Amino acid sequence: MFKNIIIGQYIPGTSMIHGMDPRAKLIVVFVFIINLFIANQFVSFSLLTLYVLGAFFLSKVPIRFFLKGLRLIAIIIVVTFLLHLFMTREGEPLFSVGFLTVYEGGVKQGAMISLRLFLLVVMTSMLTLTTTPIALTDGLESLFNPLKKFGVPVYEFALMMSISLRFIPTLLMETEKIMKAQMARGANFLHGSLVKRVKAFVPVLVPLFIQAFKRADELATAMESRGYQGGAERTRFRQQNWRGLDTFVLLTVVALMFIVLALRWLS
Amino acid sequence: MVSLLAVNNVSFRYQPEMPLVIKGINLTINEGEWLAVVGHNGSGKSTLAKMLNGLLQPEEGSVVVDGLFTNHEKDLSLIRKKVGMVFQNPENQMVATTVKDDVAFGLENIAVPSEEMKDRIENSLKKVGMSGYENAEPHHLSGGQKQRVAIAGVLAMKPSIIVLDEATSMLDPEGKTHLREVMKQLQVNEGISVVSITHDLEEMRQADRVVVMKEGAMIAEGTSKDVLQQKDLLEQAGLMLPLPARVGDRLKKEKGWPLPKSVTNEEELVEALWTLKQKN
Repeated sequence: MFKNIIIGQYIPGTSMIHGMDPRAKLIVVFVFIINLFIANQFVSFSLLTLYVLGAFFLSKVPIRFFLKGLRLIAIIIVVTFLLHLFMTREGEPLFSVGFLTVYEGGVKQGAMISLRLFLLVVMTSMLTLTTTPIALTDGLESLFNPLKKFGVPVYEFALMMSISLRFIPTLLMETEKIMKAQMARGANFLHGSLVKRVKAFVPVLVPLFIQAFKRADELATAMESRGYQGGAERTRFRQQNWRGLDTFVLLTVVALMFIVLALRWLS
Repeated sequence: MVSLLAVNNVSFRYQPEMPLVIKGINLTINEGEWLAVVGHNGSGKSTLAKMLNGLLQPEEGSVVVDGLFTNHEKDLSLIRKKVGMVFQNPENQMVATTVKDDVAFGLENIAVPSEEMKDRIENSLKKVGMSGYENAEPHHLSGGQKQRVAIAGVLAMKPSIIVLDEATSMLDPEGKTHLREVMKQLQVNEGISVVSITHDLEEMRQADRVVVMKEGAMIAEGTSKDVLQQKDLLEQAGLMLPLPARVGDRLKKEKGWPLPKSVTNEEELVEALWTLKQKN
């Protein structure tokens, strides 16, 4: 059931975007999202869409993986579009359906907001599709590093995160094993009312939790005996290297920000 | 022989009101030797193992590694570099999401520069026969492979002693054999001392010296051949002889077959039976 599980959505590849420093990708996506919210002109949105299209082609990730991410969000996009379409009363009235009148402003507003959401989802998927969870953790860690000065245990959070990633498949496989053991003794997870099915899960969760605590204890002992000391200075095996390409991509998104800002002021 | 680690008159209990788990143990571990510590569950052998690198501190007595006392907090990091440990459950000692990151974990802890890590990781994976698995994820490895990665993780830190705390007990026969072979090679080629806490008699046979524990005390010490001969002793320690030895034993006792005294493994039994058949 849980065999060959893939954590996160990472699609291995060797594209230019795959090769970028995770920190650069995180910052670029962040700035891009700001751009999305500054944009209020047709030209700005066209530019932003082109930017996403460019990234899509460069990433060489098949389109179906993006569509998978969009499937969940599609309803929200459609509903937001319809809400804005009918609720905004600006500009010329275009046509009416029953008691609802659609105005020109509504169409504009609806299209803008939906496009914003759409681009946001595609761009964030781009990040998770081209970056391994562990690289993302590393990237976040070094971006949040300055917070160490204020006593935020940034490194410890990152370690926790990576240990969680490490143990997700282990715990899933264990869940499967326990479920099979319970099924062999007559437990039924597939039939009956929702309440019944949820209740059937309790005997799975109890041993799972007990095992997880035992694992945590043993892992802590193993880590300690391998010389881990909380808070001590450590070196890093996984090095991040920020290359010219990363700076270049960052500059493009910043340039885009200036254009979008300028267009907003000019209007 | 140079002694690397000395356990001096050590006693230990987990809680003040509880009975002693370890009672006045004296033990030395020499350079390049393989020492097996045997005894059945609750004999205190795992507790003893955890004291060898300072995971537990003795209540009385001292544990000294290369001149460093395990109860000196500041020396612990160095002691753990010298005395590596591999535990029972292969699943619960891998910290990282890939093999190479896991081997790197210990190196990061002792602040090895990152340029140096790559070589050390490659080297130690090679020594345990796990080259080519650098990027493998833990859940795609077998138990035996995970244990070998754990050994590589310890090996990368260039230890002088590796303690195997029932490291083979959860593996299938093939995994067990492979792990024993790897450890033997490390002992012979790298001169690393091995301390194996075990109730596996095959592992015990591989040792140069065997210590038998019962109820927290050492009840016997000798070469593995000597100890394996003393059947009463093994029974006292709750250990079962390997099948060939039991077969040989019963053939002698019940059938009165004139087999030689020292039948400890399959080859010896086969050899003895052949010789017997040829004589008749």
